[in-house]
Amino acid sequence: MGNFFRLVYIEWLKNSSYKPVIVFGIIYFVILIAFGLICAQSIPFFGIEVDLIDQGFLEFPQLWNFMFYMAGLNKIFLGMIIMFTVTNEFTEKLFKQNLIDGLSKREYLLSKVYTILILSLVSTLVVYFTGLWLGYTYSTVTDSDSVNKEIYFAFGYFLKLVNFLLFFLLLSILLKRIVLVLLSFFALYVFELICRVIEFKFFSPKINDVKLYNDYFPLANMHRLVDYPFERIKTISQLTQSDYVFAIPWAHVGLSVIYSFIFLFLTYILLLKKDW
Amino acid sequence: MSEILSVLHLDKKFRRIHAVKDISFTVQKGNVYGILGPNGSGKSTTLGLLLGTINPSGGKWAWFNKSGTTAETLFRIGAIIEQPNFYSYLSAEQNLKIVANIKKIGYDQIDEKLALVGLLARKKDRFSTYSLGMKQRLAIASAMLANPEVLILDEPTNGLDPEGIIQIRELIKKIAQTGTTILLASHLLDEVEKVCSHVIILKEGKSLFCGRVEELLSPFGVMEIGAHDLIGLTSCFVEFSAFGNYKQVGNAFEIELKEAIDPADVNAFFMKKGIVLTHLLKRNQKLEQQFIDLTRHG
Repeated sequence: MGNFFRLVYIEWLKNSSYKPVIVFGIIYFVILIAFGLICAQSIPFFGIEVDLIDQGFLEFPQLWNFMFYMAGLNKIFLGMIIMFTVTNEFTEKLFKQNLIDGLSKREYLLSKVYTILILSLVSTLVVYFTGLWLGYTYSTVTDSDSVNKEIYFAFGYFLKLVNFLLFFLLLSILLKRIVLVLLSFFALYVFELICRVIEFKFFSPKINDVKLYNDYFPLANMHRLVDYPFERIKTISQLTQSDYVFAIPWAHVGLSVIYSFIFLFLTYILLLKKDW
Repeated sequence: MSEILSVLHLDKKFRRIHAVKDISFTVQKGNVYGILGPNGSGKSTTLGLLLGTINPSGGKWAWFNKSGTTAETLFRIGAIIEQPNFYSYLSAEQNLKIVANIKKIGYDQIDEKLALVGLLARKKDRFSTYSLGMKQRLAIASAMLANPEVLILDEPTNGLDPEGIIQIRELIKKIAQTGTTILLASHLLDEVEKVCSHVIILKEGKSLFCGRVEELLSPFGVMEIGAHDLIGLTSCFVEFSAFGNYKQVGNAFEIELKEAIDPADVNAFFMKKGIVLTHLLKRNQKLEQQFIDLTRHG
């Protein structure tokens, strides 16, 4: 436990006054809360005023689906924090100096993992409390059953962030340059998209069979942890006549944990095997 | 005298380069060692291996009689490699706080070490505002933070102006006086000669020599003599028993001496032979010359 605090404190000393961390940190949490507040507004949508409260954005229990989905959209800013701090340490030979000073490779990796866990936890809590506050203000039902029924989304969101940030950590240590990290992330995104289109067009037997193997690719899998809430928007669900049934996507949860460990393992192997 | 470091058959192959070839040497407590070698001779790789940042291809080593490099051994070592590596957006004090936390020591040494290198007044300033000389001195303060038993310095005067070089050199001498063992890697022979008691000479990844500086140098010094009649001069060398190997340097000869000799005797000897010397100088042998000879033939 003492080592946990030591490593976290070292991370704090390293990063708390680093400009990109402050800038992206502020942007991230401002947007996070702003997204929540937008849900309580009417917004113009193709010339029509759409009242998001009316559309059920702030109804328990689906509120969690909306809130955590929206919050997930700007996770790239957290990715930026990891990317800036880690690539800086590798291009400026700070990691090497850390090693020479007596921080082991394992401890270095642990300090980053702790940072990722803490960032993800804080983000989850911020969204959770914003959601609670908005829900108790605007939701027509506030019994604890409705409130807690879909609390899975908080966990799914946390897992999604951890998974995403561990992926950025791996890329940052592997590529050492911000541009390369962003490009390769974008390349993987496009690659998954192309695979998706190909699978959908040529291998999917039915057009409305939305379950694709592509959903199990690393990025798509993260996405599925907190699924699109749009079929739960009142107008859309009335149009499509679909009945949403909430279910925890266990396959995606399990796979996400596996991906996280693979990213972590690869990062560790990379740190151990490479000459710094 | 106890052994700080022993290296046995250390070897490192990179993909294309065989950077370190079967290096063995030992470091005794309290001495100042110079690791000499031209650029690309494997100095930094050797230090990287011994500090655990580079994985070895073969061989073994022991710090303080314990095999390999662990966090605990690193806490007893202070090292700077190639260039001062610090968080540029943090102050000297903040940077040293990070090091203190890594080394699991308190902050009470920070001011003392900053004072040692003359940076106490600038401790709140960001590292990026420092001159190269100041950065290098901060690196030494950082390496000295946990009062290490060994200080490793890799090219500490690289890129510094003459004043900066003198400051660093004085600092190294000051630290050496406290009994700290120092390993100084450098390609500046002059520098090593001025501060080191021992040398380890590397060339193309091989160690050519490890021992006291005096062992490397001829103990009786060298003599430079010159005359207008150079051919007549050399023909007499064999008759003079104190003269060892010699070679021509410009209009004079540089001769290694095999025994103690008075320059007056040399002058008298050549007078008798009818040769008038235009140049006569007895001096200590320069490390540079020995180094060049060793690395050229070794």
